[in-house]
Amino acid sequence: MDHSFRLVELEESPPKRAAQWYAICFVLGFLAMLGWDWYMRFDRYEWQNRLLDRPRRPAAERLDRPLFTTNHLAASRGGDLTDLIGIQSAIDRFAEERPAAIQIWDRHGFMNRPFEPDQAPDVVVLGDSFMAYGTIDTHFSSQLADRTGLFVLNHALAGHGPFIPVYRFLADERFWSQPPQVIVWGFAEREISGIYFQRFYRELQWRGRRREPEETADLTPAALPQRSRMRWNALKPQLLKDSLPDTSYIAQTGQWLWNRIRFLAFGQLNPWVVVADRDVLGTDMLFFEYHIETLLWPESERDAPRVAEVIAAFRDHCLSRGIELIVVLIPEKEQVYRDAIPRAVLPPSADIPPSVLWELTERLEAKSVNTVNLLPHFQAATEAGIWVYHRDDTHWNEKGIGIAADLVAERLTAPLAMQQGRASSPASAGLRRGTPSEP
Amino acid sequence: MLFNSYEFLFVFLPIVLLGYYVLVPKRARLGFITLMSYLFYGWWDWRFCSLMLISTVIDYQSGKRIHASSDPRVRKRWLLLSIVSNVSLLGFFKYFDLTADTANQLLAWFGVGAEPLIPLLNVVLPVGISFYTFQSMSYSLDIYMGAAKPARSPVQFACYVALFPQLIAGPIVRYRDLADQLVYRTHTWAKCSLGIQFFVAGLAKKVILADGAAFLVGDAFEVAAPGLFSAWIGTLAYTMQIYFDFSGYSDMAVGLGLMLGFRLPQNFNSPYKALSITDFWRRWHITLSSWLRDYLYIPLGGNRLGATRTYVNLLITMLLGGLWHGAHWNFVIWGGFHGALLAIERMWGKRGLLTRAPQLIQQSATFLLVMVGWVFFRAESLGQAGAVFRGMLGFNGVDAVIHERMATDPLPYILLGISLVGAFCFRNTWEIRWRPNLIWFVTLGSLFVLSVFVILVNTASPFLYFQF
Repeated sequence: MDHSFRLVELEESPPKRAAQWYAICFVLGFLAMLGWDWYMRFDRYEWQNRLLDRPRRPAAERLDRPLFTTNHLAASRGGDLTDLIGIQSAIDRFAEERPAAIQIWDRHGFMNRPFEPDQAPDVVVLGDSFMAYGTIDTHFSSQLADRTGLFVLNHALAGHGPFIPVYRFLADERFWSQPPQVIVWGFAEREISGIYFQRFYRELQWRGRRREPEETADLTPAALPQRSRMRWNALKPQLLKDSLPDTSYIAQTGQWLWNRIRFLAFGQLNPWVVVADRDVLGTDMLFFEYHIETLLWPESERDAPRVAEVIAAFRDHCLSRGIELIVVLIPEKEQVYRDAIPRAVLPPSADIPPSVLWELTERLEAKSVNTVNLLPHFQAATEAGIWVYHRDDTHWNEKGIGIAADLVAERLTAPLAMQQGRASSPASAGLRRGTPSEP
Repeated sequence: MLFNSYEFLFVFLPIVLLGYYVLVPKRARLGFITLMSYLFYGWWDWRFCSLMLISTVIDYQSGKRIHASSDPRVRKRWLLLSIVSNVSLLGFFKYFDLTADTANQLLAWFGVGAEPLIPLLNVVLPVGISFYTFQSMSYSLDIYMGAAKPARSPVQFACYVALFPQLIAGPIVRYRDLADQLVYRTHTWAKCSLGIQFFVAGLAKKVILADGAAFLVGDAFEVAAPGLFSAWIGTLAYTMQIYFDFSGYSDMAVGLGLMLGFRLPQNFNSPYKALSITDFWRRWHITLSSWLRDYLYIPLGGNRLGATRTYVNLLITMLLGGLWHGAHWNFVIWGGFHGALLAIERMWGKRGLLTRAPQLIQQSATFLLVMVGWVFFRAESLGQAGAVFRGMLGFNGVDAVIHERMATDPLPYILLGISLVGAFCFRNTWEIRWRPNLIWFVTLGSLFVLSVFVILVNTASPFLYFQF
């Protein structure tokens, strides 16, 4: 039968009035869903912020804020992985107790012990959520300060990756007038990707593009653009494909609902959370599926040579301002306990390649970048029966932070001795284009 | 842009419908759809829009000249230009690397040159090029054969080539079937309701059944030596995946077409209920089968030149049909396999063993043969296809992975079971007599919400036929 006749027959079979109401109800239902999702995208997820690049307010403008804000955290159970599961009965066997704690935030939004506002820090800690993780007494900066007696300022942020704190550091007048002697920049293994670091390098170049001569990228705060600008790149199909579902209320609701259905019907946890297939140090442990994926990244995606070049270029910039850089490479929990990753979550016949941290350490050391690779130390700790990560969280625990702080404290001695008597930074220092370190 | 993506469902489609029905004047609607179709296509890579434009311009001009001229030589020349330009586009973007690689291997085999003589260009395949070049070419062919009149305006023809509901993966629409609709079409609530039904049904088929079954395919095709259960279940899963994936896409295309007032052709008619391979090809990818029949098999002589020539024609048609699916020898073997089966069926006629068997046996045997064919189609190399066949015959041993997976993640197996029941026991989308009542509203509404949740919970997966 001719297809158009079949369709006509199908069209004409139901009563017209009913078909009309049926379609109208469907369209209205869809519009309600659509409208709600877009409203929440702007209202709740602030999607507009991804489209606009707003320059950070200079530190001086934040002087009206209180110097420090204190939060009292009640005792709790569970970490980010158990939060992701979100079903109380499912998380009991994994959740660790978290004692009540105090968080003190400085006026710039970083967790720091109280300090004198005009006091120059000896060490500034930059990095991702690992470097910011913990309470006011247990996070990396505090533990490092306790071990060295130095003024260690935390400038790491959770949830912003390793680069945003660097941009904010560069844009902050305080660190140009009173530069620290050492920067400790720590980031997790999952951040090590040639594309990410190349983007970081380009951003640094972009930020400094206005300065003459053209060969020098000026990174002083004055050179930053002062007005909001549209991020046209954010409208590129590839980015919209991620950003639209990421900021969709329907997607979040679907995820929440699906997690419950999976658990109730099949007894399965959230697909993002993987239970170790054997006890690690005598207990259950959770892994994050995305982190397992990152362990399988091919060499081309990791691009350790490119990453090393970008880090060396940033080190050169720091040195030009009289600051020593120490890089801390933090292995994923999934890397340290890789033997406990269930075979079923890996692609068929896929083997986990050796950690990129080994190659990157070698390359950084070849470029004389002061590097601390935590992987061998965490492996040794695990063999000695010491937990260095929370079992219910993607982050390290107090002991893991302590090991990192011990190792960095050892490295600090030399740069600080070298810095004695060194004059403060030149004002117009910047990332140099065309240097041997340029990626 | 994928139909099963957030940006299509929640951005592109609302803009198109709003623009089409509310913002754009009636006379500009066709131009608006064309523009949006180019945007839809350019979402992958805007540079590929130029290829579609080239094909459109050449075929529009060819059609016009063929119709205007009464000189057979001039008419033939313009037809040749149309065919050569489309085949060249397709040939370069789809088959250059295969040809170069094969030629290099042959030359090396004969000991000519130590290094490959023809460099591989690693040409990126523009999505849907096989569909729109075939569609565009059919326009000139139809005008040449007197089966259609040329388009009244370039916009009409551009809209026909680029029409986004069927641009990427068909159905392959002939110009003569759409010509009147490009000039005049009705927009009724009944059409819109039916369009919604088709679209939702197609979306659910794709994201729930096809993508659900897809989880099991890797067990057979992504391991070196799949065991007995893995090989069979993986192949069965792929058999269901490709059907629900492609028929889901076709349903969505028909649904979207109806929402815009177009009636697109049926592309699937419960193919796994076929009683023979000949019957299968009347039900599977109907628009491609009829395209190949009308523009290849019949011009080759069809069944008019004796029995032997009929078998040869069938084989040639199916070999080229296989090659159309992709630049890989596996597709050619798949086409040859089906061509041989069609020839055998034609040879045996009504004397064949199966034709006298009960219907269930005929259906099962046909399904089994189709499944075997899909192994060639899905495998990335002949070696891999061989490994799957060895697994299916038990030479790789009996594996336990299926039991483990069933225990830890039973959902894909449940979905595979539903797919099998759906493919064999239920009416297809074109056979369902829907009623616009509360039960249907709740059913389809829930299916839509569930599909959207699945899309957003997982990442949108591409349609299998996009690669062809």
